[in-house]
Amino acid sequence: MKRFFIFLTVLLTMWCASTAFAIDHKNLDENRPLHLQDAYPVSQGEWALEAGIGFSSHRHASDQVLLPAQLIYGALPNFHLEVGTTFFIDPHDVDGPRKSGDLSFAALYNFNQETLTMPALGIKGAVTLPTGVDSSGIDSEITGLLTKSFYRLSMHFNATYEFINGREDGERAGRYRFVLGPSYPLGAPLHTRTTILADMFIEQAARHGEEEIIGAEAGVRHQLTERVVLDAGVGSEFSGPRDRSRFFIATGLSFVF
Amino acid sequence: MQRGNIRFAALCAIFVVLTGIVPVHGQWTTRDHRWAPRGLWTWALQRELPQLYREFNGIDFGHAHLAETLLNTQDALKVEKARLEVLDFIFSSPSVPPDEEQIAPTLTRMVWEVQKSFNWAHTLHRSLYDIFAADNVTDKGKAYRKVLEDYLEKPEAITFHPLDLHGKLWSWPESKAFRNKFPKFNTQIWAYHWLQAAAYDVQLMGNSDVQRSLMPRVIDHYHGYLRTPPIEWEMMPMMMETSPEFSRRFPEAAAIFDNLHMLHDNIDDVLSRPDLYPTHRAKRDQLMKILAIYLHRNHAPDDRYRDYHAPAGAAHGSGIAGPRPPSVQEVLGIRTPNRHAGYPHKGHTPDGSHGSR
Repeated sequence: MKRFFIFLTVLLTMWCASTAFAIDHKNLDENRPLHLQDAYPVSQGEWALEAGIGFSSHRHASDQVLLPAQLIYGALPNFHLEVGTTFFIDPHDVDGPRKSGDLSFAALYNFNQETLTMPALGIKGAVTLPTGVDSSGIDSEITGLLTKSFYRLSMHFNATYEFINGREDGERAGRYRFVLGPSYPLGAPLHTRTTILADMFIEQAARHGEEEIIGAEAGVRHQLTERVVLDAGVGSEFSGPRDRSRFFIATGLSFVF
Repeated sequence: MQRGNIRFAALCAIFVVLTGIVPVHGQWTTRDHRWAPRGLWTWALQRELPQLYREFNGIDFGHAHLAETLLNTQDALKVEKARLEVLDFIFSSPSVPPDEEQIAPTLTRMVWEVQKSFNWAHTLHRSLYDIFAADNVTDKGKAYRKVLEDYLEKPEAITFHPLDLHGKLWSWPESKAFRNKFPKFNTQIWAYHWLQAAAYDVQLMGNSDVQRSLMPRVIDHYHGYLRTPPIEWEMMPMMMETSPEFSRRFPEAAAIFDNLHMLHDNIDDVLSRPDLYPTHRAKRDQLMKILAIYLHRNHAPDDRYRDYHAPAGAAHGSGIAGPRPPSVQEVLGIRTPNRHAGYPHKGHTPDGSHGSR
């Protein structure tokens, strides 16, 4: 926990000391507030801090409060870098390969702008270091990102494969995850500050022989100021292992500077 | 693979096919979203001149909403309705810049290359307003050169070479169509450009206190244009007419903004002639043809676009028929001995700084 607050304090200090430009509030990043991501990075030269709080109620397992945070930098045209972590209030009760305090580094590259005929395509790679509580092994994942719009309704599709090194007996060495969902600017064209979004996801369970996790979630992102976007989401894993999440909620903020 | 899994994979496959991930005739363009160059000036406009900042947010909506409307209809009543929606938006004094991609989804996907040039030129606009609003930036000329250099090194930058805006670039088959079909909306657009130009010369009149004291009169004048569009204007306001001091001291930026504003007019003309350009492809082809002239680098006397170079004096607005927009000095009641030549202003230094205050 202490490390999380130090991390947050440093980032908030950076934010407050800096000046800003307008945030691209429709840019969807993982966990803000859903799994769903679009195919676009942040602007070249942009810094963004994203942080939030979530709660997940589990069947046949203890509930969890989690605190994700990440820093994003538009390092090159159409390319951004991310560093982030998630802290859990009960770090020793975390099941699965991702542990409380694991540090992740990721890079997202967008190949093209969506046109009337061509969807936007992107690719994201991530490496997670075992810096967290009870963590072991370096995990990595690769995600294909696609965004295709139908007038103002945008559909996003993410296909991920995760390579797991730090696994326990009976756990998989790799697993896939698919996410598919829409986003829509509520009130456009006269109002473009609020985006609603939803998705369905399917993910292989961490352990062999367990049922895939299938869930759905919905959320909203609202641009509060030029620099700040608020988000909130709710969802459920309605099929999967017996300790799957009954429901989960998340809320957070994105700042640009 | 389990049943749910198979269903989901099938759904994904259908989505991929429907979205045309393997298109035969797909356009391919990169996004290239860029953050404004950073400096002591960043975000000064919003801090020092919030009213002007909000006016500019309204203007951003106006261009995008017009273009998307023209793509969907040429019906005079519907276009007029869109104009009134823009006025409502502007007079709502929006605190946040609107998202043009969500306002005009068809246009931005049809010609992202044009939108990219607009975005980057508008970023230059905003950076310069910030520089002139920032009292802690004492060497305005140095900051200007830094921002200009950063702007010009990007491929989507509009040229600073003066182009023949009144002549060749307004002599396409579709030219003047928007002005003639929708004169109120057209001059409303020109009024935005008048304010964008006028604000610079107000900013060059002094520090942020001076700017804050003078700007409301200029904005009031602009609001008068919005309420009663000056349909007697036959050609867009030129930077040298409206903002002579800025044009004299920062000629590259002035030329870029004149070119930018004419490119807006070119687009509105193309979108106003669906009889000439009935499909998205036809519109795109014409717009890309025009855009290439504005993006061409190092316009040389003997190059392929030499016919599009401005004749001498064109930037001053000379030779344009009909009533012309006033300079901001005229609006503020400041005498202008020679509006077309610009004039030296007390307290300014040649390199663009305000000098001692």
